[in-house]
Amino acid sequence: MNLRRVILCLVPLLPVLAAEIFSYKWMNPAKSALPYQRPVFVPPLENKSFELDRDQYDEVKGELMCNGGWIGKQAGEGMPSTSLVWIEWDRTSSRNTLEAFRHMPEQCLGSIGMKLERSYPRRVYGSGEQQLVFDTTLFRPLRGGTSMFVYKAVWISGLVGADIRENVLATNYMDLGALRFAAATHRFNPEHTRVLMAGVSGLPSEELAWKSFSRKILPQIQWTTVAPTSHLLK
Amino acid sequence: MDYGRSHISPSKIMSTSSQLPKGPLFSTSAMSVRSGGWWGKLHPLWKTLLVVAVLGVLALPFLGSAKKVYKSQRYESDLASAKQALTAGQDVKARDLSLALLRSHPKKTDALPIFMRAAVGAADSRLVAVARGYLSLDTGDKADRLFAWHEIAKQSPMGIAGLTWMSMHKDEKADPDFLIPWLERLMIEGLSREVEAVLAVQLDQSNPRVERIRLAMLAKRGTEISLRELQARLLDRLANHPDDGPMLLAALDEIPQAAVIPYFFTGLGEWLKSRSGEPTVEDQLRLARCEIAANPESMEPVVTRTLASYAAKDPLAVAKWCTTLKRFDQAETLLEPLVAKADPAAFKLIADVLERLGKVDQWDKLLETPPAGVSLPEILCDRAFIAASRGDERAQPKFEQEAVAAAELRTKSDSLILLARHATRRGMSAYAEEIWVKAIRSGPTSPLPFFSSISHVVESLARNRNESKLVDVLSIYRFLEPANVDAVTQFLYLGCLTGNVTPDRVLTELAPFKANIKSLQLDCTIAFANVLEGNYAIAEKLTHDTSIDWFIQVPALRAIRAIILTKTGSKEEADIYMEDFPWASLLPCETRVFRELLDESEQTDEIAHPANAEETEAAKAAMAARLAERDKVTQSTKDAIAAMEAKQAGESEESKIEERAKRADQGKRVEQARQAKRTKEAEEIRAAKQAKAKEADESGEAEPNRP
Repeated sequence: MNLRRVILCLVPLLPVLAAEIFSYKWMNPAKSALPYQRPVFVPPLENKSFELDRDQYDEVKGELMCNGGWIGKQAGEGMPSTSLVWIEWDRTSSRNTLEAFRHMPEQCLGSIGMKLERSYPRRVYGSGEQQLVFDTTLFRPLRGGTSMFVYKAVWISGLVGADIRENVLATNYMDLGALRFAAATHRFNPEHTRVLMAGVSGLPSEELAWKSFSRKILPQIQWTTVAPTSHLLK
Repeated sequence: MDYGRSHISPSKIMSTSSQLPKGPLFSTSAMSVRSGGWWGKLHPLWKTLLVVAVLGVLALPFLGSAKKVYKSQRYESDLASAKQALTAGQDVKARDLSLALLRSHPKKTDALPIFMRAAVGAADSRLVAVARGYLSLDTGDKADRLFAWHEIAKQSPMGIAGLTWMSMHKDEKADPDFLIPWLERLMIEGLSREVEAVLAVQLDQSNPRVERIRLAMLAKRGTEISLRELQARLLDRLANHPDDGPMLLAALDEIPQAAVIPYFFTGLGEWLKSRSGEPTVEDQLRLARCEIAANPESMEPVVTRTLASYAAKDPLAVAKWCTTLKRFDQAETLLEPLVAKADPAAFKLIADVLERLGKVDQWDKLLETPPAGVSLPEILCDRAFIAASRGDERAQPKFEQEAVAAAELRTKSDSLILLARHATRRGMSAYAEEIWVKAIRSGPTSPLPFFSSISHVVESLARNRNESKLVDVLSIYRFLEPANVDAVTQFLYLGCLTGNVTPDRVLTELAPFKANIKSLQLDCTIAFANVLEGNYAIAEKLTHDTSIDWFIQVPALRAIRAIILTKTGSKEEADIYMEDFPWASLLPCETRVFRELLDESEQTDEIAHPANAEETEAAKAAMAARLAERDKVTQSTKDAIAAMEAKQAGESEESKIEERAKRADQGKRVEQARQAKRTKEAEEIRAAKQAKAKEADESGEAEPNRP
């Protein structure tokens, strides 16, 4: 067989082969070999003032396509009432993670008759890798009543300091198409995504609400070190 | 309309054309257009359209007028229908028709009186608002205005009725027709002082109805002097205005037998003689009472004679007469046959008689089967009262709940209020407070009393630490009495604590009060809102008056002062204020917020977080944004307060700066001295305590609790 002919036959296949190799590399990016910190929030069931709402979690679980989480409420004499939502996604598609960013508090709370009254500068809890950035807003029922300070943080492995209201992956959160495109270009496929949403009611100022939330609730979050290739993700 | 063709034939034109000078103006075509040929060439359709258009343009002014005439006729016919429906007793139809008219013709007010009258029958809650609107109009005849005012005085909350009365013209306020509903309402509310104050400025004393209220007030006062004055006025009135007697003599029934003056027998007798016709049974019975007062020994013969003469004729009136003479057995005997006939008036009277006789079992049995026409909630309340007096712990709450349920079922807006007043008269204060809260929470359409009249309810709710009910009550009264500084301050204070009101709204809404009213509660509320906004210096300025003894004030005010001292760096003095603080007396929201504000043990800022060894860009940006916002809020509040002060004082900028500096210096010095004094006092107290403890240890006795 003429070698030249063989090579000429293979030339058209080369771009295909190159594209395949490029696609494989793109879809399976090399991950950092360094271990990282991951938040774990176990519901404080031993606390008598805490009440777990299993029914509500079961209701939203399917829609969110999450791997785990819980919904509960902490209230008691002499302390503000704090509603808590903790949702976990592991090895999920980027879509769910991006949905977590896209869903602002005013959208989910607006659907239950709450009105966004004010937005505050974000709150940052912790530092370095152990950091949660909270979007801070004030909501009130449409017909007036007790206000609720809402704190929402999205934590994503490999994306420290993400803020849901500001820019995520250099895109605007409202433009989902751009967000998806950015996710694609960055090959954004996180190992873990966590969402913590808290509504603190019965306090007159955001300062006090944050004080209460950051001192009574947030210290309950534990950080564990995870090896990137570990299979013990849960 | 064919001008050219009828007079000049085409052949004639053709024949003359050769004689005319040549040119476009004199051509045959130009001539035909000038003579109206264009109309002839028009298609009949265009002709018709043109004619219609011209006629339409010409008819436009007439169309406008015709439309007005049509609308006016339609309005008149609708108004007539509404009036007809009202006359026919179809209140709902009349209300709907009048409402439709008011909506379609917002500037016309003819349908307002119809709506008001129909709304009474249809029990429409918009009546009071519409009546207020009607009274605010300059036009309107007296009958309609009187009707509107009467309904407001009867049905609206006192805050609204009072505001309406204040806004009425002075001629109307002096008119007895307008005055009497107001006086009656004040009497229902138990505001005797206000009634007497209004009566004191009434120079015209000719109106018998006003005089009747004056006599009722004297009877209500119930002192020997007031009862004598009542009878003297009554006798004077009988002598000078004999025709007022039938109306005014009812005041005599409100006087106890022992207080009737002997001379009244002669006066009443003369008046009865002067009247034509047979005296009524009531008047005869009153005369008999006066006869007994004039000659106490003749009591038995008079009673026997009266019973023989009138018991068969009017047993109810005679039974009432017997109760005034405290002859309850005879009254009971007279009433028994009437009760069997299910007479509601007799039922009420015999219930009262049985209660006075102490026949509890018979009274309870009687109340089991009330006739139609008596108020069921009050009957059930009485049964609860009887159950409580017997110590029946099961029946009492059962009847209490049934009474409330029966009151809530009634369509009248004041049924809960009447029940609450009845429970108060029975001495069931806790139950009455519960009903008051229900009545207030049911909405501002019922005739609620003034905020000052129900202060005991507010205090009780605060004492029982019932936060949600307290917020509801205060929010309704804040709406009903927007100028009441107590209601507004308390609502904003509590609303701020519970998160219903933002601190900046508290500052905005209390600013007008601050300009006119000096009150520690008001100052402390403004100071508290300033603390929440981060304006500690302003809060300190508002509460730095050294003449205030914070230890005799309400604990919450003391706590606010302690918070301000904590925030301004005087932690030691704050600790003195909070020593042995009665936390249990505070509301849960107060405890929650005050504890958070007093606790300065840990910094909450992001940068100061213990684990924050590595400060991120996000944390830096968040902190910068937060500080910028706080500065902005502080600056805007400071500007607003400075502007307000400048407006009030009207002083020059220089003198203000000087004075501020002077005051700041003075305040600082006073505070330093005070702090030193407090620290010294605290040390002394501690030393005394230690000495006392030591002494107690030595004597072997336990240390007594601090009161």
